[in-house]
Amino acid sequence: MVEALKLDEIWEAWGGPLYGFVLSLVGCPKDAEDVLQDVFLALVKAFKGGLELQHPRAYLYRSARNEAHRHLRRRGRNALPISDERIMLVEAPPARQDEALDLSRALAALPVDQREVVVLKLHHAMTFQEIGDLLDVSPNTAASRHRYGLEKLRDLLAGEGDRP
Amino acid sequence: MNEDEGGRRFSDEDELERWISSFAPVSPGSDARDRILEPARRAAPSGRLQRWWDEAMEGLGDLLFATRWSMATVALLFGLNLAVDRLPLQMVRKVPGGGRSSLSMSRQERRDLSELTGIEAGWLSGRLGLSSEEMRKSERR
Repeated sequence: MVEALKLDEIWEAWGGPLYGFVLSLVGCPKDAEDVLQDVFLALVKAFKGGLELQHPRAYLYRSARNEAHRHLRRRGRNALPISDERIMLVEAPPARQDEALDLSRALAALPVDQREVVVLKLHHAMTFQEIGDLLDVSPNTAASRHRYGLEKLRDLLAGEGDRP
Repeated sequence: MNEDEGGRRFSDEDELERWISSFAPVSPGSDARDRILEPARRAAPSGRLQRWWDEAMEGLGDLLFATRWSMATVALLFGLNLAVDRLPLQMVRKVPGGGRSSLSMSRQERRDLSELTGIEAGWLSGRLGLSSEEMRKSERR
């Protein structure tokens, strides 16, 4: 069984990356927190049911992704609703805030299946094999989504794609 | 990367990948941790409670283990008493001047009883009330 103390240890190790990942999917800090609340609550229930966390990274990312997609389905939309133009999906030093904002808007305009692959590959250092395992797709499919995502990002950033 | 009024242009996807990788995922605020973990903390037992539970379970395990042995000993002695009750009457006699019954058993009989019950013969003799003198007598028989 998990105890409150262990939750803090898990948060120390994985909370930050999970938050960044979930935020890139749901696009709103408040929603990201709601999703992660559900992730950690589900984790406690799973521990009570006898779960032994042998591969915490894979387990937590999968759980976070499932909860984030459930959240998106409840909202009934696939793309991020960036009503707030200042929403940031990436962090940067003050001197690069404009770049970070452009990238955030471009990422937000990607279909979620491409966005999650690009984010997992470039910001969470996952291989296509690991991404494929997480998304239940082949590594080739993950690589294709990454390629399409990059192509679209390139157009969006150049001002040639549809801006959100 | 070239930047103009239209936007940002990258020479190839490698350059775009490097540019994206130069940013970091957004970190949660310092107070987000408590907000996020609060429902899970309420559902999880506290560390103190968990330790109490672990110790209780360990204690219960010890108790069960000890009880099992105690029960086995009680059962053995109970069985031994029954066995003594069923011994041939001529083997049981009263110790003169005392109220307790004792056994008049030959060495072979004691050995047989010891074998039957799995109890060491000397201890058995003592348990059944045979005095050292009685034992010596029975040994001589």
